[in-house]
Amino acid sequence: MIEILKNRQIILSLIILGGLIFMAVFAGVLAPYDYKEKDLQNRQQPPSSDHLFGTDHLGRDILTMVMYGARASLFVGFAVVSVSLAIGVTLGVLAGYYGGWLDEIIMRLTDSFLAFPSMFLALAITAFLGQGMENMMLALIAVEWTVFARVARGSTLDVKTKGYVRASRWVGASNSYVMIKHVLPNIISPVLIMASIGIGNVILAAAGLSFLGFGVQPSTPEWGSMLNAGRTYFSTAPWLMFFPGLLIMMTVLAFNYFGDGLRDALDQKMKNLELEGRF
Amino acid sequence: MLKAENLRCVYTSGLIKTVKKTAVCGVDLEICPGETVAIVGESGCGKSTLAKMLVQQLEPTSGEVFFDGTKLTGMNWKNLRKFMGKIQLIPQNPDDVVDPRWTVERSVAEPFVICGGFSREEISANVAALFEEVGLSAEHRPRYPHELSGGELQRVVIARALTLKPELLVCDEATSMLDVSVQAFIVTMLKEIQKKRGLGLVFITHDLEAAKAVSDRVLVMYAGEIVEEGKDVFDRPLHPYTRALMDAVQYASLEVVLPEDVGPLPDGFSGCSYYKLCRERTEACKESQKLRNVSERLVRCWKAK
Repeated sequence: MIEILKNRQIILSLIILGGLIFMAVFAGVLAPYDYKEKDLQNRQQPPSSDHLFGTDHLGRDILTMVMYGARASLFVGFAVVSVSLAIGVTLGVLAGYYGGWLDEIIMRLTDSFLAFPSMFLALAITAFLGQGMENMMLALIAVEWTVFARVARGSTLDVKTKGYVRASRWVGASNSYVMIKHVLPNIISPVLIMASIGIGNVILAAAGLSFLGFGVQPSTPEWGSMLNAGRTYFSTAPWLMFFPGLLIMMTVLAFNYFGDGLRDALDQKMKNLELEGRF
Repeated sequence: MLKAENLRCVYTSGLIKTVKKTAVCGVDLEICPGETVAIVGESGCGKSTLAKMLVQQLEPTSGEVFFDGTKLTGMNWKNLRKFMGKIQLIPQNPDDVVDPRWTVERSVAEPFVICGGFSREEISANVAALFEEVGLSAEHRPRYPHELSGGELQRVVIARALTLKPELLVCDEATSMLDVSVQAFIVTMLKEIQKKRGLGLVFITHDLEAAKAVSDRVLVMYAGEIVEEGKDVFDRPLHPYTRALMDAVQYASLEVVLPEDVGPLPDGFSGCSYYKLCRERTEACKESQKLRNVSERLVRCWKAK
């Protein structure tokens, strides 16, 4: 754990992510205005000391909306990735561990999901289910779980040939015991790396879907829908799109950096292990 | 105690054009309590395959394994579980057998946890006793596998194998990954444990010196068959292969004299499997060779006297 914190990439991304999460959680306290408060007199005000990020076409404070928007975006990111991870890892481990026809069924299912471009699939599902945050999340889960299933299966195939799996079977352990106690802990690091990068992707995809009008209701603040709303006024009031866009970029970058750094840190640990030698 | 009858293992690979490789063909073996049997032979002669079949990690293509009269081969997992603690395998590579993410203490305690019926205090007391038995101190217990040396790790593996009070230990090249001084230590320790617990020990190795030192009985394997079996095999080798094996160790730097047409045996050849390499072959060797009893020794060669 301490070794991970020596990585500069991880520290930087953790600071940014910590700030974002803090902002999202305490939006109610930190935000200077109420996000529902419309001030039609002060529409499309450029950034000033009263409104640091300016106001939108209904006179709402952009800083306030961006803060509340972080709630929606981060929630979508974490929730979608956690559910996809649970589904994907379960199916991937089962497929890799048992092999045979179960592996064939699960992997062909994964392949059929992977065969479509992910954004297209998400769009098709939301179009079918209808607009709304829950439906958007369902669509994103349908896209995201395949990645975890693939990674988990690959790592499981490697782990299940290890001597400790056979040794523990040979003293009478059940398959589920081996999967939970030996396979899962040994495949979890690549899965966590995928998860941290996945959160960034999901936030981006969610913003994209909201931008296209498939995501959250326009009345709830969300970065993607804010971009969409600001689109019309881009030439006269660019700050409407600039700030939510900046936040999306920062969040996605931070998660990607975090995943990258995590991979480096864990790889490094493996390298050290090899260099130490055993004899 | 453990008895194997006519064990055979054929590895098949390929879907359409199948390639068959016979690793072990027709091995009979019996191990009595407290006895040490060494199995020697060159690499690829089927030693490890035999070991895996003995501990039921590999289902033989044909043949049977009995433990105290109960047939183990073909038994389902549920029934087999009862016998698992009784026969334990100590493999060549110790750091493959312990989970790298577990402390060695937890790895040794695992069989108790899996079997159930032990309290936390009992487990930790048992584990401490086992660590002591294999000569590891309390400070080794909370460490991770990468923090131990190869010899220490092999001792952890042995401690783990001893948890369920086995009656037979199968050591598959258990010392060949270790350096010479540690090898001697591990072998001595295994012998001591054997004496104390009255275990049967199958010692698979290509180190003839170690085999000679530890064993009551030696089996020499060649091409999946037992070619010679008995006591004092190395003092008085009867089969040409055993002699060649001993020469190869003794004169490793000298040129070994081989017959002229060395190569694979022709298809359908039913004679001695050592025919092509044997320096003493004659036309009679093209006949199928059976294990013969020659002065308290089993030899698969018609010439042996």
